[in-house]
Amino acid sequence: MSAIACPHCQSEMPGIGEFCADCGKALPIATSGPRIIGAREFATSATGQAVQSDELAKKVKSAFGILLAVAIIQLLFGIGWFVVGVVGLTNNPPPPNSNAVPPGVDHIITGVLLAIVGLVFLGIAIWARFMPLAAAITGLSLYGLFFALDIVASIAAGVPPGGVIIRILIMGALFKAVQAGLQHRELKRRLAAEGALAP
Amino acid sequence: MVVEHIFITTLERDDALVLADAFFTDLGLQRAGSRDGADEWTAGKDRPRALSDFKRTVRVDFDRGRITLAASAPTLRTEQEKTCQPYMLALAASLEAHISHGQPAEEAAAPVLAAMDKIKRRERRTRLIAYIVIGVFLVFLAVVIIAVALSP
Repeated sequence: MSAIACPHCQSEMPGIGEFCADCGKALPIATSGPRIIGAREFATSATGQAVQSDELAKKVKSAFGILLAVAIIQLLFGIGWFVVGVVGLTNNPPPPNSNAVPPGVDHIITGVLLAIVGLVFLGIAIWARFMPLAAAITGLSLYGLFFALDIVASIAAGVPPGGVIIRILIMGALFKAVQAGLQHRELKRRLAAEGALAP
Repeated sequence: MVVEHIFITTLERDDALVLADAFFTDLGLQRAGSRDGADEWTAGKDRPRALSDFKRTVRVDFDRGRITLAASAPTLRTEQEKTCQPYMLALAASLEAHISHGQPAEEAAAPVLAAMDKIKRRERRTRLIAYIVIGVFLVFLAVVIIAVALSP
């Protein structure tokens, strides 16, 4: 094994170890210059891991904004349908002794259901402030489920499902937040393990 | 995007960090104190109006002559990351050239400034394309309005 000279005290060192046995300072390391940490990679140094951890934490927290946007969209649509239903019911009151469902009632029911979904997502968004990963996973699962149900209902009714592109974008953003959250958790685990091993 | 770079210096801790501080300050970064024993500098905004003003953080740790630099640009989108990568890599390599190899600050900073210049050029080109697209759209809109107004 080739010996290397310590750049600090010029002692000859066997090419092993990170620090000089004589002066205790760092020995040169073989590097290929600065490197970009890929999406599925982890930084090698504690400083790099700390910076990466901060960056991933910010990405996970972005789930809050996405979930809040979903909640607001659902609530607005819910209120809109409800108002349309109430106006329809007011303008066309059902004839007395009629068994038929009055016009506007289906809109009111749709509005209430959308508002309930909106409130659920509002709750998940608030939850995301404290437990972003768990909230992002729940939000993604629920949103995916509602999306699938809507597609099935649209196919059954013979109409094309609406807002497919925006829904896919929302699911993609939530998926990225979940991915960042899982990586962040793994990184935190590594940092904790390294901290525990440190003398 | 996170950039990591580890290199060795024969300078003492204080000397190395004073040089790093002066170097980063000249490049427009501001000292943001220290976290977990590492010194931190930042520049840019969380919601920048221009790409060249992207948020970047540099953390430098000194351990017995070994310098670990970790830089991040957390707010960039994937396509923006590609544009800003050369800047982030140059920032790390230039610090090594300055602190470890004793290159003068102006000379060491040249690649960083060149990379930032490239970002600004790209930014100007993108803005120009956006203006052209908006202009074409407005002309098209005007033509449609005139055509509708003149139609019998």
